[in-house]
Amino acid sequence: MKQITKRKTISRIERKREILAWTMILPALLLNVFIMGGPIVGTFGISLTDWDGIRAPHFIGLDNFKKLSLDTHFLWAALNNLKWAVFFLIVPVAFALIIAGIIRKVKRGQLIYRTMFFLPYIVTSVVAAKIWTLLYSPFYGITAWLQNLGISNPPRFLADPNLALYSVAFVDSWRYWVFLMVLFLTALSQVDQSIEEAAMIDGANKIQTFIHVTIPQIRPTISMVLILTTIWSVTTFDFVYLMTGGGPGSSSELVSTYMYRLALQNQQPGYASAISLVMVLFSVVFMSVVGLLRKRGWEI
Amino acid sequence: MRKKKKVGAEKGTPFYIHIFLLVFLCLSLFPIALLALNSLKTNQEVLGNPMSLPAVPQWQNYADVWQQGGYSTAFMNSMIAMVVSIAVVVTACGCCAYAMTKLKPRGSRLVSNYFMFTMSVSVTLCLIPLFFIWMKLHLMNTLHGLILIYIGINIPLIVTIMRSFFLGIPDEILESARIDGCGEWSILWKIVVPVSKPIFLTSSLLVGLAVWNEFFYANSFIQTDSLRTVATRYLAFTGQYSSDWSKICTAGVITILPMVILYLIFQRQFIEGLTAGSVKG
Repeated sequence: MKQITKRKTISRIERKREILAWTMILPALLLNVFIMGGPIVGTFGISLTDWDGIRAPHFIGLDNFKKLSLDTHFLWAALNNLKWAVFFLIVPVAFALIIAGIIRKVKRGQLIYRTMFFLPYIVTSVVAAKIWTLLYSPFYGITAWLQNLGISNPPRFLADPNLALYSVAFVDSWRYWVFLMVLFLTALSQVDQSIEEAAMIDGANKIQTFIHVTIPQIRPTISMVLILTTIWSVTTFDFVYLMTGGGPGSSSELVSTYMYRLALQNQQPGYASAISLVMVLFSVVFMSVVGLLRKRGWEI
Repeated sequence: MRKKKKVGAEKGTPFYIHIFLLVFLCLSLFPIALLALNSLKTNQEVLGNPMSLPAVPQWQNYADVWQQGGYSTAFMNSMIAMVVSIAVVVTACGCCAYAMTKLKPRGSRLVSNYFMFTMSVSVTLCLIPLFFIWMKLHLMNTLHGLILIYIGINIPLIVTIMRSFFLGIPDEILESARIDGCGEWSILWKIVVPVSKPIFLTSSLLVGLAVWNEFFYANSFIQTDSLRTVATRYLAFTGQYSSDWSKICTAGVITILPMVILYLIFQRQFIEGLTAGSVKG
C-alpha cells in the first residue's frame, strides 16, 4: 500500500518534470517551426498548385513536377549545380588538405596562421562579391593586368559564358576552403603521430606518409566534408546572384537563382515551390542514402 | 644520425615552409588588402591602377560614404537586429538544450532529429511561404519581421552547439542540487549558466555574425532604405554609385570592419563555434 502511493507520487513528480521540460523546449521549437518547419511543409502544398501569388491557387496535382522534368532551363541550371559541386569537391578540399597538412607541422605560430587564414570566412558575401567583381573587371582587374604583361587574349572571367560559373565558384571557394582547412586541422591534431614516425623510419617520404598514413586516419572528417559540400552545392545562391545574376545569358544559372527569379519576379510561386521542394528532397534522399550505407557498414 | 634529425625538427619549422605559407597567406588575403587600399584612394586612382598605393590617403572618403550611405541608420538597424536576435536565441536555445539533455522528456529525440533536419536545409528554401505569410501579417518591410526570421533560422545551430556542451556537464552536480531542493529553473540559472559562459559567448558571437552578414532575407523583404541593415545598405549603395569604385571599397571596409575587429578579439570562439556546428551536424 505504502509502495503504491510512493509510486504514484513519483509519477506525479515525473509528469510535472515532463511538463516543465516541454515548457523549456517549446519556445525555441515553435519559433523554428514557424520560420522553417512550417514554410517547408507550406512549400510542399504550394508546389501542387498553379498559384501566381495574386489570384486564388488551384490544385493541379503533380503538373508542376511534370513541367519541371521537361524544363530545359531547369535542367541546364541543375547541370550547373553539378559542375559547381564537382568544382567544390576538388578545389577547396585539395587546398584545405594541403595547407592544413603543412600548417600542422608548424610548431610556433600555428594559431596565428589559423587565425589569419580564416579571415575571409568572416567577410560578408556582399562585400566579397564586390571585391572580386573589381578583380575580375576586364578594364581594371586581373584581365587588364595580364594584358599589360603582354598576353594578347587574357581570360574575361565574368563575361565569358564558358568561364563565368567557375569564376564565381572560385570566389565562393576562396571563402569556403579556409573553413575546411580548420576542420582538417582539428582532425589532424588528433592523429597518432607515432604511426607516421614509424612510416618515416621505414623509409617513406613526407608526401607518401601524408597520403598513405595520415589521410586514412582523418577519413571520417573527409567524408563528412564531402557530404556537407555536396549538400551545400545544391542550394548555393549568394555569389551567383551577386556577381552574375545567372549570366551572361544563362551560362551561370543555378537552380536556386532560377527559383528566386520565378518566385519573386515572374510571379510563379507555385512552380518555384516545386523547384524548392526538389532541392529539399535531394538533401533528404542524399542524407538517407548516406545513413543507409553507414548502417550497412560502409565507412563513410 | 636519426637522433640529430629529430632534434632539428623539434627546434623549429624549416624556413622555406614559413615562406611558402606567408606567400600563400598574402595571396589569400590580397583581395581584402586591395579593398582597404582602394578605400583610401580617389576614384581616378582606382581606375588608373587598382594595385597602386594611394598618393595621398583620402580619409575623407570614410566621412563621405558614412554620410551618403546613411550608415548611421544602417548600423543602428543592424545593432538592434543583432541584440534582439542574440537575446532571444540564446535564452530560448539555452532552455531548450537544457531540457533536451538533462530532463529528457518523452519525444525529445524527435525534437533533436527535427533540428538536425532544419539545420541541413538551406534557409533559401523557406522563402516563398514566408514571403506570402509576411505579406498577410503585414511584417513585410519591417525590421521586427526581419528579426523574427533571424531568430527562427539561427535556432537549430545554437541548440545543437549548446546541447553538445551541456552533455559534458556531469549529472551528479544537478542531482545533488535537486536533492537539496533546488527547482529546475534555479538549477539552470544558478548552476548551468555560470559553468556554460563560454558556450553562451560563442553562441552570441555566431548569431551576431550571422545577422550582420545576412543579405538574402534582408534583400528580399526590406525595400525602404531607412530600414536596411548594413549588408543590404551596402548592396543598395553599390547599385547607386556603381561606377565609383573608391566609394564602393570604402563602404566595403565600413561594412566588414566591425566583424573583423570582433573576430580578431574572439578568434578562438568564432573558429570553434563556426566549425563545431558542422561537425556535430
